[in-house]
Amino acid sequence: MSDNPSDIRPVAESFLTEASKEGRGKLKIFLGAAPGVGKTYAMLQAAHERRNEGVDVVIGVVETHGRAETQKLLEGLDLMPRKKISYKNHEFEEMDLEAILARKPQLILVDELAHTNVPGSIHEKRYQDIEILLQNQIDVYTTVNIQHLESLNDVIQQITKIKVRETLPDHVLKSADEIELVDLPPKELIRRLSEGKVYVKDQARKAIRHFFSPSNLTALRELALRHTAEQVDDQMLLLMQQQAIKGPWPTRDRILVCIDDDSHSEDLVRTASRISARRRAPLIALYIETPSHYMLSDRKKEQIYKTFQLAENLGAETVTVSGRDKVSSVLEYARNRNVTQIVVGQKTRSRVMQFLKGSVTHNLIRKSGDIDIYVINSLSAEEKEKIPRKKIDFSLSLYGYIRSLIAFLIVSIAAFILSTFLNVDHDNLELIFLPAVIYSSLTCSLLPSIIISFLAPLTYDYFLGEPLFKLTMPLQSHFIIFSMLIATSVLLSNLAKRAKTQALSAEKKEQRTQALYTLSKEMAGAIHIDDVLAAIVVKLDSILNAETMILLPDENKKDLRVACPPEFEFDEKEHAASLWSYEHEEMAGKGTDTLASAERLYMPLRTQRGIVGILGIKTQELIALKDVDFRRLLEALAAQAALAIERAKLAEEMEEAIISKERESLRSILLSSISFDLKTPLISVIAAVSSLRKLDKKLDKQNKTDLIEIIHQDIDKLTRFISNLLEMIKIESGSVIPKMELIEIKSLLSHSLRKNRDLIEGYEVKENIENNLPLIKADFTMMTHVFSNLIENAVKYSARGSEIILHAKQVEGEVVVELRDKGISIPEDELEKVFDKFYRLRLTEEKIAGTGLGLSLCKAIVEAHDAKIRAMIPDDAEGGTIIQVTFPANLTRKIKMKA
Amino acid sequence: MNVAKKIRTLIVDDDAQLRKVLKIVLHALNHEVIEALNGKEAVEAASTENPDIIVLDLSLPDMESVDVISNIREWSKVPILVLSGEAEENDKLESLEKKADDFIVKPFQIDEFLERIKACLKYSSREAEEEPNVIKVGNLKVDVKNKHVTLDGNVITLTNKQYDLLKILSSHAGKVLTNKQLIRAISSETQQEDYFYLNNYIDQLRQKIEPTSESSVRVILEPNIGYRLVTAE
Repeated sequence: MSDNPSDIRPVAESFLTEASKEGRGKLKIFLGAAPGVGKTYAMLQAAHERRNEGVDVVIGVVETHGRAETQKLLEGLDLMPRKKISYKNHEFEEMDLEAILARKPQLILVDELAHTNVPGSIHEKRYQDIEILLQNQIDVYTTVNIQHLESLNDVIQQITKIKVRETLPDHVLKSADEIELVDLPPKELIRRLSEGKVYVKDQARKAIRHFFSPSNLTALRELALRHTAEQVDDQMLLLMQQQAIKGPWPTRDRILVCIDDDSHSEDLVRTASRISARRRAPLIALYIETPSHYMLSDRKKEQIYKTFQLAENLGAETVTVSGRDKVSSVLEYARNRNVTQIVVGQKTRSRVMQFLKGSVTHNLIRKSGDIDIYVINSLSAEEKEKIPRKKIDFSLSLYGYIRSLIAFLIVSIAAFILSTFLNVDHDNLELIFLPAVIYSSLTCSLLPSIIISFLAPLTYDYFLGEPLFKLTMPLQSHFIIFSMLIATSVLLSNLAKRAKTQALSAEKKEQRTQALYTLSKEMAGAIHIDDVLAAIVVKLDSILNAETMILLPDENKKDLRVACPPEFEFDEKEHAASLWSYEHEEMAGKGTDTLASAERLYMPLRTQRGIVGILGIKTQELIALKDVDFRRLLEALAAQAALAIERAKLAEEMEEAIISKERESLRSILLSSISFDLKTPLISVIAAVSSLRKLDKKLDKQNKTDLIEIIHQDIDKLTRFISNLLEMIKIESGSVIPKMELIEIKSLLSHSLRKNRDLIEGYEVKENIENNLPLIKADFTMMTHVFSNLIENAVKYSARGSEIILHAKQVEGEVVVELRDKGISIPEDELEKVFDKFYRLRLTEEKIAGTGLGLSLCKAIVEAHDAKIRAMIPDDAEGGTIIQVTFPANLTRKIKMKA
Repeated sequence: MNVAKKIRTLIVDDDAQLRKVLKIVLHALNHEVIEALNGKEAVEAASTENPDIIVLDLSLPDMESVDVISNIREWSKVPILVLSGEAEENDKLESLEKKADDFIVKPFQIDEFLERIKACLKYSSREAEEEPNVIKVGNLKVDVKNKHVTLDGNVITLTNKQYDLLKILSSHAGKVLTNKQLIRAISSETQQEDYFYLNNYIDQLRQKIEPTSESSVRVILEPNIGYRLVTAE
């Protein structure tokens, strides 16, 4: 806007632009909408004119494409020979820049400004060549089609479906001293095309046909015209700035239309839309929500909504602003948005009302400053009749009359008492009716208070004034009292009404705030996405008095599913509406223009990062969906819900990331452990086997036996490890359930020992098993695995020759089996860790393969039986470790002693 | 080699099974074997037992093996052969930088192991003597005095850099040489060649000394470490 100093300041800058142009050649561009409009022809014509003026004109490059009339124009003009450049075995001809600079003509013609030079030329682009010419004070005439303009590239592609590859930076066109638009109506151009007068490369013929459709040409022509106009506009602006002419600079318009609650607003929006289309300016439809908005009837509110819908359909931006004063709110908003024109309707108000309330339009015009105000008066006589007269609000309940009457009676009785018993001066008693009138007009409404105002003087005269029970007072004194009371009641009732309106407005706002607050409070407690969704649905149901649901996108973000409430039935129509809403990020369904036959209104739940889901609302009243207040409340709630959903989703993703990271690290530990356990025995096996193979002659018989023994031991170790590993996998995957059978402890233990007789050789194994032990319920094979592992461990961690004690006993119904070695003790703080998978005790300096899995497998098996296992340090001084397996009472069965 | 004198070999590894295998084999080859289970024992044995060669595992339970090497290197030039796991790439290089003589990756074939032992012993015993005038590796002869190289009796001409490379490789035949050592051997004081060029020179050298795939000598790449000249069998 013109008030903006920054628009005036660039004066210095514009001088600079001008200065930089001094000492340069002048650039004239012949701009066309499409090939074939006759740019080259126009350029050559202009060149001839200049030559006739005595200017030294030379042709740098001109493509005549074999057109006879163009070819003819070449005659009489100096033609610069072209330079031959070979590239990829082809010879190309390009403009010979050096030759031209040497020749130094006053004016040179260079066709096709957007041309790309063959690789090997001095510059990549022709406009760079032209820049050099201009710098050398040579004037240049050139031609270009609008489709080459860089900034229009995407627009052109949209229009023509053809991607233009040779683009021209906008600044080149801007830097032109003169632009001549070479215009040809589309029909004419198409005719020329069909007559073969437009040069078209063979291979592009098909594409070109599409390009030359009337609609494309019209669009391109418009672009070219507009661009030229803009350029002229800019040049004018520059000129004005140079001459220090103060704004306004209405080169870019923005139009605002103020809408109201009547149907006239729709016409207004249409008119404004036409203005904006003509000026190619964006349109904003603005509604100012004053406190009285809340007093509007539903019909009026729906009208506002309809007008907004229309405005949106016409491509306008719709905005609602709260404010007390329409005029100042409109202007404030308009200034913020750099609006240049405001379109308002003419309100039909009587002159008296205008005088009393002031006309919005007049005030707007008076205060608008630089902004143009368009006042549209489109009300037909017929429409005028439709507008209901503003009525005084006589509507009230019976209750109001009764209250007023009671108040009147009370004061009447009071007056009677005062005058009869207390002899209060009658002249003062008239005032006693005033409170009744005030009360009535404040709490009830106008009509009762007017009735009281009538009754008061009469009552006073009849019941209180001397002589009693006679109307004796002169008429004018009645009239004076009467009119005073009437005036009071009218004033007060108006005041009261306004206060009520404001209170209502405040109450509505309060409700909105309250609703948002409760929603956010409700959701703050919920962390998991399902809880958040449930909280939103429950809360929205109660706030909106509607049935709400939330739909979330599936993993591919292609489809939606009902996420809450979970047991929801959803038919095809609803699905379509919700999906449309999701894909277009707009409301759809009931109450909208899209798929309105759906049962619900669907509303996108959006955050800054995008759409998170769809809110579906089912409400009984259609009106509610169209109500502006309802919509606004809904939007505010939806925004909050969207944030909460997004937050929950992010939290979920983060949690998943952490879990998968942990899983990942566990897997890598597992892998390295497994590979360690597999490899260690293999190292000695490979060394031993290769010794046997390759050093056969150097080894004696004893050596060979020893090596084979080592191999045997290592392979045994490997076998155990692998069988443990497989067992573990089976149990962990849950595919193996213990096959419960009744087992005698004694046979289980002796079986386990027998299985490991190789290992325990040289150890002193003691079995201490109580008599009459109950049987246990367990899987025999699995339990053998447990005790084999325990025996193996005991052997591994104690020296050969030491004791291994197996002890089985009964303690309070439970069967406890203990296996004790007298080797190395587990440190107290590691007693529990030994059961962790791949935990390996570093109790000895030597590597002990396989220990990483054995105990954790034992634990897994034992726990699959609902039994318990733990490690203990013996309380005597002999050291070692006790592993205790406890079978609870429900896993035991007493043996019935045979008689 | 003097048969009467037994070679004293110190094996440092916490894997009892492997120690047993190596002990059996080395005994059969007339070595005297000393065992150590950890770094502490290794350092102690190295100083008290006076071993001729030390076989040292790279992952010891009590201390870093590279520390064991630097500790021993403070007072002894005894050859050290490092046993490394596949995953211990960096430790391998570090141990060589700390002046271990060579390495072998577990699991290994016994003949490979014995080759390394041999190369380590040869190199250390020769260091005491004077450098020989002619180095023989397989069919390759390098006349150090006259800078004259023959392969199967045929003269091969080498550039200075190629010759320098061949000389250091052949005088340490069987033993790994790190990229750094090789670069140092072919660079002048002022001009340090980088790894890329080394690679190039090795390729050029290979073309000359291993003309067929069945050549008797070969330059083998030890990834990320360096090269080794070996005789093919």
